[in-house]
Amino acid sequence: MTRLTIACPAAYVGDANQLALALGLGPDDDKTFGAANWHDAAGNLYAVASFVASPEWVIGATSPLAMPAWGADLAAAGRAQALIRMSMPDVNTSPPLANPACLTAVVELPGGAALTLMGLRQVAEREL
Amino acid sequence: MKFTADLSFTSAPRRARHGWSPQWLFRADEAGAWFDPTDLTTLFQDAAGTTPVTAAGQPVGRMLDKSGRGNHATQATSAGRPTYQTSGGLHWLAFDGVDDFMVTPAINFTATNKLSAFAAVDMRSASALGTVLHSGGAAAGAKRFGLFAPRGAGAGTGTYGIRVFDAAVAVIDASTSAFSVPDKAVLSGKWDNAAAAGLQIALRRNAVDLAQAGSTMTGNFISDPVYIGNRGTDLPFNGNIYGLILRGAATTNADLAIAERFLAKRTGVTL
Repeated sequence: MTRLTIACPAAYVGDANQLALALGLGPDDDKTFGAANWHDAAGNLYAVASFVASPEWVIGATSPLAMPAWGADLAAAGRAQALIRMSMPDVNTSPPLANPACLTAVVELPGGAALTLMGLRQVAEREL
Repeated sequence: MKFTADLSFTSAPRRARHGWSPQWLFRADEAGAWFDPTDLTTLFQDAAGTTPVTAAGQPVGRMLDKSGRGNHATQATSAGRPTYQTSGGLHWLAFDGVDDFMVTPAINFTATNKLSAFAAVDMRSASALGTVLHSGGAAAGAKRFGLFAPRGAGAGTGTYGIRVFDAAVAVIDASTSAFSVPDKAVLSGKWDNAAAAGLQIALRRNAVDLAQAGSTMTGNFISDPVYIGNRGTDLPFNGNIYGLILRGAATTNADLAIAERFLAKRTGVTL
């Protein structure tokens, strides 16, 4: 089991949730990526997710997708899968900054540390 | 001289000096919930409650309410589940500060203008505002309430905060002084719409009064789901929760003290 933290550009949230649905544990996994309320230095918005992934999930993320029992849009899931960029900070020399063209995934680090490494900050609190 | 003895038997919660249980706080059918990660029989990996939590590191998709009110907290999305952890005889739910949270069904507080909340937490990061509990989700709503850790974020230190939205949907906050993180604390929050001016919301940390504020809110609270660990879509809590009690009533000083001691033991905090 390993922790994965993924930053998904706002434009790809729909596809990324279909990928989460295809690889996930139930029909509610289509809500894995919620509101895009994190931003990078350039102001690009991202939805984020951090979770402990099983070896099967990690293998599935890089393998041909299969239809889960609860259904999924595999075409959308495939588009998201093609955008995944996995990074292991102890192996890579450059920081895995979030990229508005990719689903940036950081392995092993605690979620908050991974997001910091990706250069992401929460959008300022909306009080009302 | 006349001696009398009451030998009646009851199944109602008892306020014993030893073996005190937070169920005592719900003896008059107060609305609310009590969550106790120390009790593994109340934790399940899935939201349906079919796969029990048996070991550290497992996700928690369902946490049973021990108040007797049936307000069980769930997280249906697998990536959003906090994880159960245990060490040194302590047990907690770890929230990742990214997307972990749980939510109860709507808890009906429409019969009360007073609330009490007790939260045993370890605030692990102060880099961004975090939510311990919040009624109704991220959208502002009259009579919604919340507890935050941190309320004010800073470099290595964070404050704790308590909130209510008044009838005009204006946010009213009170914050404590700042504490270095990580910080283990038993938080006691009070909302009392009938209290004297300036005292309607108040927050204690480890049995010390630290923050209070006035509110123009009147009337009773509403029926809302209660989010634990974020507001549903934002302000995620980065830290651990060792226990949580929420009740639709004011809490006497005697009950307040014993509830704080109860949660302090579960947190490893000495009061």
